Amino acid sequence: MKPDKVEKAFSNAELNELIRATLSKRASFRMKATGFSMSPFIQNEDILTISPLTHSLSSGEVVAFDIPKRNKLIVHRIVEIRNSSFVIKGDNVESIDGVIPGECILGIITKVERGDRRIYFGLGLERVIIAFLSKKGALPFVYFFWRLVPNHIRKFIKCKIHS
Amino acid sequence: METTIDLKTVYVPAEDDVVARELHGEFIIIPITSGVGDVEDEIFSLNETGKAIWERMDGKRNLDEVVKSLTSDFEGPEEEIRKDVIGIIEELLRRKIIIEAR
Repeated sequence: MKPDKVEKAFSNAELNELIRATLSKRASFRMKATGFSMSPFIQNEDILTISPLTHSLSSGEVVAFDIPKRNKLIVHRIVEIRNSSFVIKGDNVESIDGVIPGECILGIITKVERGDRRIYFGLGLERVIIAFLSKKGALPFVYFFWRLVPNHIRKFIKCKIHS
Repeated sequence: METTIDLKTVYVPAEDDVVARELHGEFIIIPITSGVGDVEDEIFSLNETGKAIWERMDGKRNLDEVVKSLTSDFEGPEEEIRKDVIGIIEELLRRKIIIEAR
């Protein structure tokens, strides 16, 4: 008899438990994103690495959190800090998730993978601008115009930001 | 069956390097490799016997005692159960999911 390697789709509650257990060992947790609420920076089926909190969170950072009593795992961006709570919002949704207490934050997204590529854009310093635009509801418009910029220029700008 | 497993050895889960949880009746093990627990690449499940072996690796019982405990709790010849225990211990050791108790 051998342990079976399995592919399994976990429920939100199960994922919450596994993430908490893994992060409590000071390890990161790698899982697949589902949904489009963080598009275009995080897309459906991107692979996310959630890491334990090692510093004070700041605006623009993307975090995994659960909403008390709803047992729902969400990965969205901090757009404002209020005392020790966080206003959190998906980049691709109009309304905020609410003011989330710090203890609901499971971890911070430190890596996004899409296929064989690592996606840097959205987690670097530009996250502060993205959070500001998201909070003001301007992100969809900016993204619309961003898509009109020729691909090679977009790549150049992304390289400059992350160099 | 040839094996390097010594039945007098006490094994325990590698607590720092593994997350083990029973979720809806399924016993799931996620090894932490290079500081990452990866549910997209490497998770394992143990069946009822595997879970029973896991639960008996309590740092007190050596493998011989684990086999005896299983023999009294499960139906089946001791030799078969011993073979099962050795099989799963070899695999768990290979994946660094368990370690020898100190």
